Amino acid sequence: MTIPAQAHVVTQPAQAPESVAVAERETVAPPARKPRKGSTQGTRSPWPVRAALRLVVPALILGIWWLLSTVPRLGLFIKDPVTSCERFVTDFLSSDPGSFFLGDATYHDFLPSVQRALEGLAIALVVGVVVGVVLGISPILTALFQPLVHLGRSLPSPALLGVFFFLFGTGDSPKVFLIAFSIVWPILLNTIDGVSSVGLARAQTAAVFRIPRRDVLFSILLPGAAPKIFAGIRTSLSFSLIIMIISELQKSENGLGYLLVQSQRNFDYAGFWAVLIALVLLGVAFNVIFKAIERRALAWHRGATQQND
Amino acid sequence: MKLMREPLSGRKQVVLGVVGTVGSALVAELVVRSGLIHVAGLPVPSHVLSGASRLVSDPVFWQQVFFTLGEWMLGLLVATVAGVLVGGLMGAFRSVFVAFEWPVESFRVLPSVAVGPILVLLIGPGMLPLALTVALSCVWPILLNTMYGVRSTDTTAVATARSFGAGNLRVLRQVKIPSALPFAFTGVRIAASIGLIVAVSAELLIGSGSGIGGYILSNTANATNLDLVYAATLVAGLLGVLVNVVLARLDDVLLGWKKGLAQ
Repeated sequence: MTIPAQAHVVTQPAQAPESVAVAERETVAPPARKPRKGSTQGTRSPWPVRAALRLVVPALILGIWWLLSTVPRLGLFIKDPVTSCERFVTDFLSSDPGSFFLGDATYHDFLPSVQRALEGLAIALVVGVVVGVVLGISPILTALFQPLVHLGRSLPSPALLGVFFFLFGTGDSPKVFLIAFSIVWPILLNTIDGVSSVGLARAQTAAVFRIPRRDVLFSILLPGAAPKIFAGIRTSLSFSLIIMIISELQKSENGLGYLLVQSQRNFDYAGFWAVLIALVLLGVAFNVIFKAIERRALAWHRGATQQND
Repeated sequence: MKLMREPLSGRKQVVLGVVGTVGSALVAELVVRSGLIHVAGLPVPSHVLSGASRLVSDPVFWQQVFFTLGEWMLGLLVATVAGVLVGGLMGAFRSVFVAFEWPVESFRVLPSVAVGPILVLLIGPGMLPLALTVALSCVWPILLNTMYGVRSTDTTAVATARSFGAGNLRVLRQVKIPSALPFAFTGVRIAASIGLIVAVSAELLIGSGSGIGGYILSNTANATNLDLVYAATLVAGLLGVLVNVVLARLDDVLLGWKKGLAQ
């Protein structure tokens, strides 16, 4: 094998298949970059000023929310922040230590929703990474299935909700499968992209030392693709919440999406706003947990990328 | 395991792509036809294709497709204007970043389709609440990418501009915004593919029968029309791919200079 002759050729896959996950690929960079403190203003402002700054926009939003709720006609369905929060507390929380201070709605709707979202995410993660590695290792397989993967990513999967109910019956499975089917694509695309651009130095090392397959997979390919896989999961995570809600609109007995529809049908708009608050809290929780996992899993990466590749 | 390989030529990739797509469709057709997997309701590629050809000649369907496309474009436009404006300011001024960080972080995670019903009540039915729902989920990638783009402006370029006597505003206008453009466009591309899916989702939830989502909704009511549902989804997906290709081309043509920027 004439490595020098191939050298500049092998680097190509990193840029060559320009259609592969270009969009997602470039999202990898931003999260890794830390905000430079005081980059434009030189000195940091004192803390009372910063605290005031932090609170001015949220206060403005709450103010507008409250103002809208006082308009006669709009007030019917825009409930003011205090009523909404009170409703959230009575629905989703309780004073009973036996149920861990969580209310009925948490057990009846919130947790089942979260469970389905997480099950869908787990399926999507396994399928996306396994298929992505298989396709990504071989340029021929990548080329064969590239159009289908791109089509899959563009399919408006919520439209298939009715079909999924038809295929998998009622209960949780059609919802979980719809979530998995919808969010597998960013993970799949990014895994293909990550695996097919391992970098010249690592590829040569693996070839020269004849590193066994297993080690190549678990010590070179997967860690090398991990930053991109995480970027894919980040996209999938926010998508999973949307699909979670959509999947509960029909033929459901519980879940946050079900609660949204029910509260609207019963003209119970305080309940509706309470669900919105629950959704924001859920999203923030997902985000915080994801960031913590990512930081741990990719801790080595920040150091490594400064020297290699 | 071989990691070193020759990249395939563009033509080979196209040929392989066609082979893979047609081959997968044939395999799926055979598997379903031969009864190897016997589940009612699975898509049979030939039925889906004939359904798609029927759709393509149906003016009502095209009306709905154009409705969805219009809604999507409007949403994307609103999201781009808002995202670039707020994201640019957040990137350029630390005080703006501090002020908007919490609201952005909490609204970003709120699934936009959940807000849809309220928008319908506020604005009334029609395209606008749907487009705003689309905008609500498209704005975040554009905003964040623009923000990171402005932040990662080459410090040498900024210093150069300053030493030529440019003030804060002029540096923003002539150095930071141009160098953030490629990032913003990347955001728009990500947003575009999210947008179509959200558009159809929103139509399913609050669309009152308009758009591709509405078309599908009225056809899933009786389960006999599954092929039509598959076909409509396929056509919508192909539209999404088409827009992606167009945006990628635009990216190359308009912002081709960013490759030099990276070095």
